[in-house]
Amino acid sequence: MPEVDFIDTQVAREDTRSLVEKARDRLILGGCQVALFAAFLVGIALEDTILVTGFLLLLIAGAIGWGRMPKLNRWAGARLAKDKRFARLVLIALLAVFPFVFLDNPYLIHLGALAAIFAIMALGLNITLGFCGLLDVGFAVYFAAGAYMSSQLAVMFDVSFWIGLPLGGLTAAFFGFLVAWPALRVSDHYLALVTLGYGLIMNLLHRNFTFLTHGTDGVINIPPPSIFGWDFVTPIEIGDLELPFQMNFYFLALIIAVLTIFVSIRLRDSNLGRQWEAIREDEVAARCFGVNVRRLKIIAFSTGAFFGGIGGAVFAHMIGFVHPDNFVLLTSIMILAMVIIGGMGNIAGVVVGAVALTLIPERLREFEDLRMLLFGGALVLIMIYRPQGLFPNSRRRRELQAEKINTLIAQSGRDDAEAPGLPDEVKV
Amino acid sequence: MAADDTAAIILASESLTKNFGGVLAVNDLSLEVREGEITAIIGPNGSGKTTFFNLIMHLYDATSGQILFGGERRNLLDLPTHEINAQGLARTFQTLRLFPNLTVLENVLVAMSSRVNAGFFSALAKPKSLRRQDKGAEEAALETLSMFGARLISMCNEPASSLSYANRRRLEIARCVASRPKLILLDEPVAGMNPTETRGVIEDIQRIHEKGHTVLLIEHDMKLVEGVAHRVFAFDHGTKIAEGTFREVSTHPAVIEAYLGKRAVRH
Amino acid sequence: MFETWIQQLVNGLTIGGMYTLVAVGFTLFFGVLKLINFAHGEVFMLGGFTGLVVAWLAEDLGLQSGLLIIFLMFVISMGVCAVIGALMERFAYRPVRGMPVLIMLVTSLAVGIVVREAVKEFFPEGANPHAFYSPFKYDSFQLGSVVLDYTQIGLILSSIVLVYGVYLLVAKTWVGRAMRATSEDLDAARMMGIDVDIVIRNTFFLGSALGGVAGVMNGLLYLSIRFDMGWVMAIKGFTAAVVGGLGNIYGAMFGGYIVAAVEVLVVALIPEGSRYKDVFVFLLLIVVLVFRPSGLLRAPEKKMG
Repeated sequence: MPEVDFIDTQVAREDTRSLVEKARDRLILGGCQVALFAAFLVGIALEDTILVTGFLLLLIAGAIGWGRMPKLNRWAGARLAKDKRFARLVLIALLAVFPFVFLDNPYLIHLGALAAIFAIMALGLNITLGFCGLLDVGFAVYFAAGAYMSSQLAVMFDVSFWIGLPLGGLTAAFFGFLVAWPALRVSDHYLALVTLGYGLIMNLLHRNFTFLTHGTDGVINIPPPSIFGWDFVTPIEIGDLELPFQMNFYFLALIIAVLTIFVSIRLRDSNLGRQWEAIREDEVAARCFGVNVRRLKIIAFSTGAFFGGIGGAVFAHMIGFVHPDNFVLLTSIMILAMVIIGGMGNIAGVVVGAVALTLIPERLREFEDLRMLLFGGALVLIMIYRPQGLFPNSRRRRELQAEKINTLIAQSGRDDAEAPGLPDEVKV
Repeated sequence: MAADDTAAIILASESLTKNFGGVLAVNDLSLEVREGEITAIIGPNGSGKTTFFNLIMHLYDATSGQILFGGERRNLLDLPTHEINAQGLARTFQTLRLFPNLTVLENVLVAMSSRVNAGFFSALAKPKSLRRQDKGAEEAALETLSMFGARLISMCNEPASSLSYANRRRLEIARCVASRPKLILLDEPVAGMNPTETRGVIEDIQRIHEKGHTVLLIEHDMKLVEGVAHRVFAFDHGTKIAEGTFREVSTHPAVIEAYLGKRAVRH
Repeated sequence: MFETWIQQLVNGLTIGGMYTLVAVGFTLFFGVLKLINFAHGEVFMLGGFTGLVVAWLAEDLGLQSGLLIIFLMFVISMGVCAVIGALMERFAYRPVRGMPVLIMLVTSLAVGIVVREAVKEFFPEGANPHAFYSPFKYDSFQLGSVVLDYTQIGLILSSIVLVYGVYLLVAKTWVGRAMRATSEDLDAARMMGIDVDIVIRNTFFLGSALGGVAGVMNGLLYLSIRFDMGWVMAIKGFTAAVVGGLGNIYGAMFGGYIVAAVEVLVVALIPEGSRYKDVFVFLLLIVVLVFRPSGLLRAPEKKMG
C-alpha cells in the first residue's frame, strides 16, 4: 500500500540520522544562522544612507526571491524542524553576543533593547489577533497602562521596578479585560472601530487626567531599575572593560522577550490555543463543540494586553520619560503592522516584524519625516502584494504517533474492503 | 423500519415558537425524538428545520416553549451554547463549518473541548497529567478518524481545507462523533453530493447509529430518508404536520400538499 | 439664556452639516466595498488645502468677489478630491477588494498615512497650521436679540443643499440606484448587468467630493487648517455614519447632526466640557456599535451566535 509510505514520510518525525549526519546538519544550520546574523549586524551598523537603502533593497529582493521558491522554502522548513531546539539555542547565543559586537556604539545596543521591547508587545498583540483573531486597533492603550502604572509607582511612591513591572502588566491586562466586554458583542469592522475608539478615548484621558499622568508634561525622571542597590544606568566593568549601561537594558528586555516567546509557544500548543484558533476560524462551530467563546476571548484580550503592559513598563524605565504622544493611534498601527508584516500567528515572523519595524525607521533617520511617508507606502504595497506577511502561519504539523496511525489504517483496511485513499467516485 | 414508541424520549420540543420580527420560523412545535432511532425531518425550504436545529443548540433564543433533553429533561434553552455539547448533543452544518486552517486531527480535537483541560495556567505549566490527557485525546481523535478508513486519517496532519468535499462532510460527522454525543444532529448530510457519495453517507449514518448514537437529521433527499429513518417528521410553516414511518408520512395528504401545493391533493 | 441656546443650535447645525457630508462618504464606501475608509479623513484635509490653494490663486488673479471665490473653492476642491478618491480606490483598494477585514483596514490606514505625510512634506510649510481664506470673517447680522454669523448661515445652507442633492442623486437617478443595488448585494448587482467597478468608482468620486467640500467648510469656519486635522474629522464622520447605520445612506444624513448635538450639549452642559467632547463622541461610537450595531434609526437585528 503506497499510502502507508506516504503516511510514514508525512507523519513520522523520528530522528533516524546517525550521529555524524546529525553533526553535519547542525553545523550547516548553525553556519547559515551565523552568516545571516552577520549580514544583519552589517546591515544595522551601516551609517551611510545610500548603503542602508541599498541593504534594504537587497533585503526586499531576497525576501521576494525567497517567496518565489516554495520548494526551497519547504525543504529549509523541514530541515529546521528537525533541529528546532538546536537552532533556538544558536539564535539565543547570537542575540547574547550582539551587544558585545557594538561596545563602541551604545546607540545600537539601545536600539536592540527597543526592538526587544516592541517584540514583547507585538507578541502580545499576536496572542489577541494572531491566535484568537480579535482585531485590536487600540493596542497603545495597554502600552500606556503598563508605562504609566510602573513609572508613576516608582515616581510617586518609590516602588521598585520589579514590583511595578508585574503590576504594570496586570493593569494593562485589566484594560484588556475592560475592552473585552463590549468587544464580545461585535466582530470584524465593528470590533476594529470599538477598539479604535477605545484607544482614542484613553489617549484623550492620558492628556487630561493630569493627576494620574501629568498630562502633556509627561512623567519625567523615572528611575532606572535596580538590583540590590546597583542600578541599570551604572555600567558593569569587567577588568578594564567598561560595558555600556545600555547593555543592561538590552539583556533585561531580551530575557523578557524570550520568556514571552516561551509563553506564546506554550499557549499556542495547548488546548487553549487550539480553541482560540477554532474561534478565529469559525466562532459558531467552535461554540457548538463546547468552546467557551466568552471566556477564551477575555483571556485572549487580557493576555495580549498583559504583554503590552510589560513592554510599556520596561520602555518607561529605560527611556525615563513617558508622554501621551507615545500612545497615539500611530503607535497602535505600528504594533499592528509588526504583527501583520511578520505574519499573523507566526511567532518567529512577528518577532522579525517587530525588529524590522523598530530598526529600519531608526536607520533611515536621514530621511527624517519622509520615513512615515515611506512606511505608509510600503504598508500599502505589502497589503496588496503580500497580505499574509513575510512568514505566513503555515499549519504546524504535529509530531504524531506514526505507529498508532499505521495500525489504525491497517485495521480499517481490513474492515473496509476498498483500498484507502482511492478517489471517492470509485467507491460503491 | 418501524418506529418504536416504547423507547425513551431523548429530546422533546414543547410548544416551541421562534418569531423573527413577525415571521414565525418555528410555530408551536411539539415533537419527541426517541433514543436509539434515526429520525428524519423533512419539509420544504423555509419550513423551519434548520431554525429548529439552531434553537436546539441555543444559537437563537426561543420566543416561547422549551426543548427538553435526556433523562433529566434539562431545558436546553436555559444553557449557553457551549455547554450544550457537554450534555450530549453535537451537530453538523448545512453549509460546512469546519475550521479550514486547522488540521484534520485538530478539527476533531476541538470537538473534545468540553472534556479537555483548557486552563490558562495549566497550559503554561504543562503538568504531566495534562500531557497524559492530551495524548489520550489525540489517540481517541485518531480512532474516531479511523471510522472512515484511511480517507481522513491519512490526511490527519493536513489542513481541513485540503480535503475533498465528501471528505469534509465526513470530517464534520467525525467531529460530532468525537464529542461523544448521545444525539447527533445532521443538517442535510448529503447536500451537493452525487448518488455514489450519497450511498456512502447512508452507510456512514448507519455505522454511527450502530455505534449507539441516536441520530436526528434534516434531509431533502428522499432516498436517504427512506433508507435510514425509523421515524419521519414533516415540517411546514414552522410546525410539524405529520409523523410516522417514511411510508406513512410520504403518503400523508398534508405532506403532499405542502410539497406540491393544494391542487395535487384534489386529484 | 435663549440667545445662547440659539447660538448653540446654529453651531450644532453648522458642524452637523460638515459631519454629515463626511459621514455620507463613509457610509457609501462601506456600502459598496464593506470597507471603512480610514483615509477619508485625509481626503477631507486635502479638500481644505486645495481650497486654500484656490483662494491664493484667485487672489493672485485679482478676483474680488468673496462669494465667487468660495464657490470656486468648493467646486475645485470637490473635483480634486473626487479624483484623489477614485485614484485611491483604483490603486489601493481594488487590489485588496474582498480580502479579510484586517487587510482592507490596514490598507486604508496606510493610505491615510501616505496622504497626510505627503501634504506635510510637500505642501509649503506643510507641518504648520495655515490661516484659511475667509472673506466674511466676523460679519454678522442681528435677528431680534440673536447675533448670527454670515459664514455659519452660509455653511448650514450649503450643507443642506449638498445633502439634499446627494439624496436626489442616490434616490432618483440611475447612478444612485446602481449604487444602492451594489450596496445591497454586490454579486447580485453584477449579475443584473451592473458594471460594479464603475459603480464603485462613482461612489468614490461622490463620497470624496463631499469630503473635500467639507474640508473647505471646515477652513471657512475655523479659519485655520492643519495637515493632521483629518483624523478627528474621520472619527466624527464615521461615528455619524455608525449612528445612522453603516451602509445606510439616509441614516448618515441624520447621524452627522446627532453627533454634533452630542458635542454641543457636552460643551454647554458639562463644566470643562470642551476638553472632553471628543471622549463623548467616541463613547457614543462604542455604545452604538455595541448596543445598536445597525444604527439608531433601525431596530436592532438578531444575529446568529
